[in-house]
Amino acid sequence: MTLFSTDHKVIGKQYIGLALFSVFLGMLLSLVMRFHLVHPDTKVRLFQMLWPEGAPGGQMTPELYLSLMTMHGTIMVFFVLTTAPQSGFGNYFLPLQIGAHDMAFPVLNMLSFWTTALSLGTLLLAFVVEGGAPLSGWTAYPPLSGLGKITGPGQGLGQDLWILSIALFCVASLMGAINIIVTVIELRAPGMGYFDMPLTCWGWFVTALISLFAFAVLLPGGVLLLLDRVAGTSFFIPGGLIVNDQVQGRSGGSPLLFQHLFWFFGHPEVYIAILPGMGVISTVLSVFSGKKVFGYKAMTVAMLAIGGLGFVVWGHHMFISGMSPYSSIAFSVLTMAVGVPSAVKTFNWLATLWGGRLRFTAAMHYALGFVSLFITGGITGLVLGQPGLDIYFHDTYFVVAHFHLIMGVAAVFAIWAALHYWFPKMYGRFLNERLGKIHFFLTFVGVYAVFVPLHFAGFVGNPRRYPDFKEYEFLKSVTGLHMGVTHAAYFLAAVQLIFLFNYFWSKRRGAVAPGNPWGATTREWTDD
Amino acid sequence: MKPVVVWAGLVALTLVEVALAWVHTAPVLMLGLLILLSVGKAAMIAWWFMHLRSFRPRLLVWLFPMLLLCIGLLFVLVRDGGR
Amino acid sequence: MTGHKRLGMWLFVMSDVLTFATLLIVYMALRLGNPDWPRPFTLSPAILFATGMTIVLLASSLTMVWAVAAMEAGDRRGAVRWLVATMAGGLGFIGLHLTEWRHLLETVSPGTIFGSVFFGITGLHMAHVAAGVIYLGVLAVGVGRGKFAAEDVETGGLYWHFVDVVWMFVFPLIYLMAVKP
Repeated sequence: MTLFSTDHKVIGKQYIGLALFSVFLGMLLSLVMRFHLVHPDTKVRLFQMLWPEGAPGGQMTPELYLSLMTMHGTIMVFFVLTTAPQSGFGNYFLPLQIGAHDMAFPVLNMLSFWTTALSLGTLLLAFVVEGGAPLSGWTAYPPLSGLGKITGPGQGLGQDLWILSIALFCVASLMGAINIIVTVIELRAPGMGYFDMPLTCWGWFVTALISLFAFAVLLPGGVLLLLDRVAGTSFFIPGGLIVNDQVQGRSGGSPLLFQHLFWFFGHPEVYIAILPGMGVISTVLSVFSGKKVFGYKAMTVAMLAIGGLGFVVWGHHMFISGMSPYSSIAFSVLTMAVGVPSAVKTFNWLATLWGGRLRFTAAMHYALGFVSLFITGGITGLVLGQPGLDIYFHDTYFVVAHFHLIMGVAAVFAIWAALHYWFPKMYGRFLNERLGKIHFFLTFVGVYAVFVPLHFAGFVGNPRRYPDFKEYEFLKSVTGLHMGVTHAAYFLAAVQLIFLFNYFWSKRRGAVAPGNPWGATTREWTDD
Repeated sequence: MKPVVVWAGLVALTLVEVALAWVHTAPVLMLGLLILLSVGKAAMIAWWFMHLRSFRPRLLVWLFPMLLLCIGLLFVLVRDGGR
Repeated sequence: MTGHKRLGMWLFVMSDVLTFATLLIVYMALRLGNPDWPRPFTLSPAILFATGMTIVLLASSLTMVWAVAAMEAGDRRGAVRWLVATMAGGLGFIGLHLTEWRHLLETVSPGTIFGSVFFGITGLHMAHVAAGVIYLGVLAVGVGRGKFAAEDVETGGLYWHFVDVVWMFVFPLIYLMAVKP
């Protein structure tokens, strides 16, 4: 397998490999954060070795905590949730499922992967440059992200690299999106209509359409932010701003503009992460129920509706930005409307199971786990979509729990379902079923043990992005809760070693799989 | 339509825009008029020079209204420019 | 195998249209949010000069149309000629633009809000023009050597017209909204 291969299967595996590396790195960062939250004063020699500036004498500074948080979010959202389901599995299985030899533009495909890899490299470089990684979160709101070093140690070169990395990622995603759309439109096998495609293909197709427009808005947002930092312009920096007792000589800009641009991308991004997963889950549930997907057309329309509505709800991330209450109501109503197609999908999944001959394979376990997580995380979305409640919950652990369940863990469960389901096609061997099921149950318990308590921390008003809570009287009540969550997180992380072992062991030593091991009817199994 | 005629039309509309600058209207009105004229010019280029008519496949034609909708939505920003 | 490239380019164009629309809307927000917006352009010579640039760019779109038509008629020599004419138009536009930048830099600092918008947006557009000139150069050489089909030239044409379309918005919205009273 050559490095710069233009073969869609190789590129798909490369993407999955990149995501696998990223997900474990992101997880390690989160463990360090969880440790620091419950032991804020403990000195750790390892921290000092890793971050001499950020942890002098092994004592983590608040800035280091924030930089870990930023990198955790950025790595997970962009390099795991966006790459693995869409670019990874999409590249590998879209052409196979529609009967094409390869993607429409193989060279563009290769370039798109290597641009993504370059983007990841640029991001990781931020760890080692002077000042370290940026502090401004994956949302990078200005003025914090727009003024340079004066706002914090990582806000110099580290933030520049962060923006550059995201800009590269936008370009890579645009290339990938164009490739997938053209492949779906032009390369379907003769006689295969749009509504003959498996729902997985619909997932990738709709996601590509979303990417085409969403990343097109993030890109100029990033470019303008970079200009504010390096060219001294003032798009997002308001006049008369004073930081650390120094007047910033800029004028005329508006930080709210960046929030708009970011969330115009940021909300559709959530659906970029979850829609390919929805396609996979539909397929897995139907194969292991021995039935067709219930309401195929409704499923496709629901995907399109989710994709379309995704572009008109970004304001719900900005309820406390001082927007007009009338706009808030409009955004709130539209946000609630996303619940309709989401419910259509959920009920259709349940109806697919109804009366089927269920086979509880590992992939089926993950698919059922996905449905569970999708419901749990989705319900709290309706809570946060209401301005009155959101003003209270904004920037608390309630939000953290909500988006980790629906966007993070649910999408990762879909990736596991896809891996277990397609592993025989990708490597000719099964992932170990028993290990898969053990891993599923332990992980399923683990994620709920981590994220359900965090909702309660949010009820108390526990703000996120705080490096430690010991100074705050009203947070005394959640100290024990956080201790529990941290231990659950250690457990959850340890359990992932089972998956890691299963993945690499089964690649070499797993049981050899026949051509169509699950009795599926889609082309990637039935052709040749 | 002959390309030269389209081109002449585009130049003529450009001159109309320059003439508008001569008159000095209020910024908001001016902005509205200029956007209108520019959309017209862009449509002319797309229709006659880029052969929008022969755009295929039909399925993706609705991407154009989607694109315009996205652009329209972004105008929400304009209200926040001064804050 | 026909239609791939054209569709791919259309998709790219749509995406990039949204990118430029975003930039221009950010500009409009800032423009209307700052009542004391600077107005550095005089009608003559600055605006007349920019009008000239606009006409040059429009003319290059016209020659591009003819290049595509020639290629469709199987006239490769004609296509190369019109492609080169289009490139000349593009280079002329860049030359005029840089002249204008040099004059403007004497009075307008890129650090001010107007300078940010002006140099940011026109600079990005100029980069697109420059990329287009290179793209057309590759096409012209290839077509001259008997490579590339009519669709390839048409795809290049889509990109070139798109660059023109963007300028149709940049010129009135940025230049004409900043004319000295």
